[in-house]
Amino acid sequence: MASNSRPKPVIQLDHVAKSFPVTRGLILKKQVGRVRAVDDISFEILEGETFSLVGETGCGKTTTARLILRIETPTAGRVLWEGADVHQLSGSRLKDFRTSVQAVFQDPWSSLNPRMRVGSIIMEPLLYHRRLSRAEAKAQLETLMQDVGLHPHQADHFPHEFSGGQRQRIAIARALSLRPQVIVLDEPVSSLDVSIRAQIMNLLRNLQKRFGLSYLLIAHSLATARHMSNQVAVMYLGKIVERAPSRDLFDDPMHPYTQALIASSLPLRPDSSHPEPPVVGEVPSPIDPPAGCSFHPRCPFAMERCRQETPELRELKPGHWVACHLY
Amino acid sequence: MDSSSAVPILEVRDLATYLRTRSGTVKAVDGVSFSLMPGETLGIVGESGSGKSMMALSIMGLLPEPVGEVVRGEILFNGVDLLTKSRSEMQRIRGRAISMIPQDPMTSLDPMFTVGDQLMEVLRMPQAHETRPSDRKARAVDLFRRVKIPSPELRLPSYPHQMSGGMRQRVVGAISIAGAPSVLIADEPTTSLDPTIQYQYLSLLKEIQRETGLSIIFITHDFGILAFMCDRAAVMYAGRIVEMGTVQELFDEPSHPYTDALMRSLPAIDADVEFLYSIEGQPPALDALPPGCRFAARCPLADERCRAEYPPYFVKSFDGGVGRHHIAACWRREETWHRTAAPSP
Repeated sequence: MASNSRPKPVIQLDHVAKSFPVTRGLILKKQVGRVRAVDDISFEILEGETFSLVGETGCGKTTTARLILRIETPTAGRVLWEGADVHQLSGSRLKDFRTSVQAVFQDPWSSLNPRMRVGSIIMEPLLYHRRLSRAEAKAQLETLMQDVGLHPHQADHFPHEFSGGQRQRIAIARALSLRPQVIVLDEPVSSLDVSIRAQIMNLLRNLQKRFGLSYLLIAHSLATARHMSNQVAVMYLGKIVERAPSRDLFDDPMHPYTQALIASSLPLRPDSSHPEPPVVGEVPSPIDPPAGCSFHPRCPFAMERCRQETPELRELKPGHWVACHLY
Repeated sequence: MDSSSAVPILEVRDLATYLRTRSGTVKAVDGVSFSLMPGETLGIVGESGSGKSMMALSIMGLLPEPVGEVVRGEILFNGVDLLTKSRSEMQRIRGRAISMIPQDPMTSLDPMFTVGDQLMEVLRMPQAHETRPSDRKARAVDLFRRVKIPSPELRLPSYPHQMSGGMRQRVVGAISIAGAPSVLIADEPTTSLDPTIQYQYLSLLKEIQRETGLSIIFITHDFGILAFMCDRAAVMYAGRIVEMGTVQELFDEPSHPYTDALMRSLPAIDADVEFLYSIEGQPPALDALPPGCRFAARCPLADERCRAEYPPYFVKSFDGGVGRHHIAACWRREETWHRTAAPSP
C-alpha cells in the first residue's frame, strides 16, 4: 500500500442488482412479488485494501457477498474480477477465480466439518484445487498453521476441541491455503468473545500486509468496520446510501441513516453526552419498499421530494458519495 | 441510589454453582457476592464461560437439572433466602418478584401460540389481579402499549414469526414485566438486534425502570451497553467477580488487569489505531482451574504469588456505603488499596 500510484481494482461491481421471487402457497406456488435484495449497486475493491459493507439485517450486504462469491447470479449488472465478468467465466479461468476469491464466514461452529481433522480441513483445497500430493500439502500445512497462530501439532485434532477464536483461525488458514487475492469476510468476529476479537482482527490485518490481500468485510459493528477498512459503504434496503473513505464516513457522516447508525452505536464512555438518534421505527419490508427514498418514513429531515423521487448517489466531496436530497 | 443506608433488594452471598458433567465438575460460579439496590442497574460483564448466565439461572431457580446445582451461598431477596424456597414457592416468585428477559426472543416464544395468548397466560397465574378474560385482554393491550408495540390490539393475535426481531423482543419484555416484578434479570437481551433497534429497546428499558423503580441486573459482554445502561458493574472471569465498582470507576480506573485489557482491546468508532491491544491465550477450563489467580496465565503483570495464591479483594476506600465500594481481586492492588477479610465487602 506504500506505492503512490492508485492501487488497481481487483473486484468491481457495475450496477449489480439481485431480486428474489416471493411465492405464496405450498404446492401451487404463485409468485406474489419480488424482493429487491440488492438494487443497482456499484463499487470497487482495490488491491491490498479493505472495503466494508455495513447496514442492518436485510439491507443486502450478505447477498452482495454471495454475488461476488458466485453463489448467486445477478438479475442485472456485472461483477468483474480482473476485468472479466465473474458469472460468464468457465474452464480454467473459472478455476483461477475460485482459487483467488475465498471466504471466511461468521460462525466457525457450522462452517467447519465436525468429522474432519483440522489438518485435513486446511489441506483440502490444496489437494483438490492445486492437485498437490498429500506429502506436498502436508509440507504447506505447517506454514499455514503457523501463519494463523496455531501449533502444527494441533493438526490431528477435531474442530470441537477448539475454542471459537481458534476455529476462526482454522477457517482463515483454509481460506489462505490457495494464496488468494481477495477474501470475503462475513462478520468474522461478531460471534467471538471480546478478548478474542482483537486477536483475530490483528491477525487479519497482519495477513493483509504480508500477502497484499484485499478484503470485503461485512460487519454490523461500526467500530469494527472503522478499524479494519479503507472504504466503507452503508447499505439500506438493497441500496448504497453513502460510500466514502473510512475516516471521512465516520468523522463526517452525511446521510441521515449513516448519522443515525453512528448515533445508535453506544459510546465507550459512561459520561459522554450522547445525542439521541433521531431515527424511529423499523426497517420497512423489502418486498414493498417505500416510494422515493426508501429511508424517508424514518428520516427526521424527509421532505416532499423524498417521498416521490429516488435520490441518486452523487460525489459531494472527493471520494465521498451520498444518495440524499438534502445536499 | 446514592443513599448509603439503603437496604439491598437482592443480595447474593458467596454463591457457588457447579455443573456435574461426565467429564468432571465444572465450577461455573465459584464464590460470587454482590448486592443490588432498589432502582439500580447492575451490569455483569464477562465472556462466554465466565459464569454470568449460570449465576442468573441460579437466582431464578432455573438451573438445568440434574446437572446444575447450587453448592453453597445465599440468595437473599428482601432478606429471605431464595435457596430455602420450595419448587412451588419459587414458581410464585418467578415473574412476580424476580423476572428474566432471556437472550433469544426466537427460542423463548412458543411458535404455536399467538403472542397475545402467551402474554395473557402470565396474567392467568395464581394471585393475578385480572380474573376476567376481558380484564386480561385490556391489561395485555396496556402492556403492549408500555413496550411501545404499535397498534397493540391488532398485534395480540399475531404469531411470533409474523413479527420482527425487535418486536418479538418487546413481546418478551412485556411478558417479563407483566407480573410487576421488582427485580429484572436481562441476559443479553439485545445481542440479536440491529443497532438502531437495540438503541430503541435499551431506551425503553430505561423508561420502564424510571416509571416503576425496577432494579435490573444487566448481563452483557458489550462495554457500550454497560456505559449506557448501568450504574455499577461487576466483571466476571472464570466463575468469579474480579472487579466491581461504579461504571464510572471501571472506565476511569480499571483496576484488575483483565478489565483493563478488555477495555483496551475494543476498537473505537472515533479513533484510528494500527493494531488493537490483544489479550493472548484463553480463559482456563472450569474443570481444571489453576490454584492461583485464574487470569495469571494471560496476565502481563503476573508473578509467582499470582500463580500460586488466589488474591483476596482489595478495596480502594471504605467510605462508599453499602455495596458502593470499588473492589478488585488482584495482588497488584496490595500496596495502595486496603485488604478485605471477607470475600466481598
